[in-house]
Amino acid sequence: MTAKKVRVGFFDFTGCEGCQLAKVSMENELPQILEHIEIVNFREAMSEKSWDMDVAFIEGSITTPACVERINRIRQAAPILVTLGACSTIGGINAIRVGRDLDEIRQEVYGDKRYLFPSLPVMPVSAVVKVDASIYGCPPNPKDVARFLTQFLAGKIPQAPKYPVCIECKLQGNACLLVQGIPCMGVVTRAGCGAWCPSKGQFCYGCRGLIPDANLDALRISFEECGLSQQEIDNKLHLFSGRELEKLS
Amino acid sequence: MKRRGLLSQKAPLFIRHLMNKGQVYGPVKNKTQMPEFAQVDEPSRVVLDYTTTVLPPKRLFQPPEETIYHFSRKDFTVEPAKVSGDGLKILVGLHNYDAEGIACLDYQMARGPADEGWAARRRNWVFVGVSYEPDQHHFSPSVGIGPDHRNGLDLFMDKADGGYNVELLTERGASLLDGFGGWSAPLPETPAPKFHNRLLPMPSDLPHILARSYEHPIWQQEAKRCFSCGSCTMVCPTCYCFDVFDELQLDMESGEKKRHWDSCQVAPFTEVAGGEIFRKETSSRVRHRIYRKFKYITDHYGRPFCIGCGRCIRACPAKISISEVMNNLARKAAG
Ligand code: SF4
Ligand code: SF4
Ligand code: SF4
Ligand code: SF4
Ligand code: SF4
Repeated sequence: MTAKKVRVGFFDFTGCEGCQLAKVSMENELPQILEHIEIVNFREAMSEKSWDMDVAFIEGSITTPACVERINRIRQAAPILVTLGACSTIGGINAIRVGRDLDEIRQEVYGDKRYLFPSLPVMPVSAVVKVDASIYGCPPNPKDVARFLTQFLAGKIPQAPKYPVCIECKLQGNACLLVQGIPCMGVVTRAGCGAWCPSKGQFCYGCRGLIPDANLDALRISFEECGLSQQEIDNKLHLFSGRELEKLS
Repeated sequence: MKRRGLLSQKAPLFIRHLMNKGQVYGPVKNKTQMPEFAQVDEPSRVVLDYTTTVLPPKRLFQPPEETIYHFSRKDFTVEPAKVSGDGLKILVGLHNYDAEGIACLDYQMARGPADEGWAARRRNWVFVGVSYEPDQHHFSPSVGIGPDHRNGLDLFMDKADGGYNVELLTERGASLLDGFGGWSAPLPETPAPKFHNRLLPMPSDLPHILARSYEHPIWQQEAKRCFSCGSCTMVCPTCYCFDVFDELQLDMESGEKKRHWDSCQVAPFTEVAGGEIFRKETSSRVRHRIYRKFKYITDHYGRPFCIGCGRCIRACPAKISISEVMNNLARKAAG
């Protein structure tokens, strides 16, 4: 197609950079994707007025005052802002520190130099600026990213499923792990990955975050029946969804 | 009725014989060693002695995910997906309740605008049933599908001492046996299987019990445990809901209109533009499924729209049981 390429900026915040397209096992698709998008780079020193882009993809969560300032600048410059991956979308694994004392954590990580590194409670991008669409997952699933990109390039704002991983798990015909006493988070986790983990016999870690109205009371009962302690259940829930749990409480 | 003995060790030969007559499908071991309805490439992979499958045989006639048509955004063309309906297909190893499940959907899919994909895939099948040992969840006899039920089957392999007694139920079934020489005399019969689960009410009472239970507190009680995960309907042989979506290729020119199974148990199922959700409360969704099985469709089908396979009970991570719910309602109605 000869249509003008969509100008895309990628911006990294606090994350493992595992979400970068090339790393989400999309090397083969990249040449095709690059027919439709142009990846643009901006020097942070430039004023946001000269950041000429159609859409900004944000990876990583918001963890410092500098992050807040930077995400605000990006939002001003980007007509559409998309979060890519669990960290920017739901806080991600960084949010594991939610509920712990920040000074203590800084001491643990930076030692004596802790006062050189101001820190904030871990936030998803949506806690600071308006987010137009999100690609979930840690890491995002290549098929889901392709679905997102094609819908987006066709002019839609793609929506992620609001139903749980179990639907996709059953489409694959898998026998349920949770029924067998294996603590699978799929029952409360947003679908879209094609039940990636349970289809390989591994329980779902919940990397795509909670579905709206997740029945967490029932989950606690089920996980207790799997033999998990309250602490282990909390750990499982906080692995990815610490921020979402805070919103619920 | 004509019967012929088939020793266990001859069963693979018999399946091999059927493979010379048409395409054979049946419960074959999947990658996790579980039986799953699929095409048979090797007779030894067919599991004739199985409790049940996760997904019902419905998956052969309405795949979990399928393409409806291919489209091109470049030249604005639409090409319906091809469904191969020709040639004889033989489904071996079908439990008698699953044959009834297929009959339920034959009825429902033909109502209103008929489902073309279903109709095309349902042509030219011969069904070979097999008896089974129920587990703690099967309750088929309570919905009129006892061990002697043979509706919809052309041949039946009744487990017997040392093998099977093969019953010839239809002309079509009998004609498949031409040329097979592996028979024995009929084998000694084994005792009829015992069922461990059942419905207390008679099948004809089920809709009446539900008619007076719409506001019953049981729906709220069950909803406390329910995850709204949808597994119960995804595995149900008589469920048929689906969602339609587009899938574009990265060339941004070609794509497919697809559908995949969907479930009335998940909250977004009834969400419409504007964000309104018709069955917002979990309790209303739990109730809806059970009314679909024993009242709404039953009112015009004349029989329960549940075949007592127990799949929804086995698949439920919250241990919600449709038979237990109906029995509790029956007890309360009686007491
Ligand atoms: S294994 Fe996990 S994802 Fe699959 S049905 Fe069970 S709870 Fe759901
Ligand atoms: S199954 Fe769960 S942990 Fe695995 S990719 Fe999907 S959402 Fe993430
Ligand atoms: S399988 Fe069980 S928990 Fe899931 S929706 Fe059905 S009844 Fe609820
Ligand atoms: S409602 Fe449950 S027991 Fe009845 S046919 Fe469906 S899966 Fe089987
Ligand atoms: S409405 Fe629910 S119970 Fe009825 S067919 Fe659809 S999924 Fe099954």
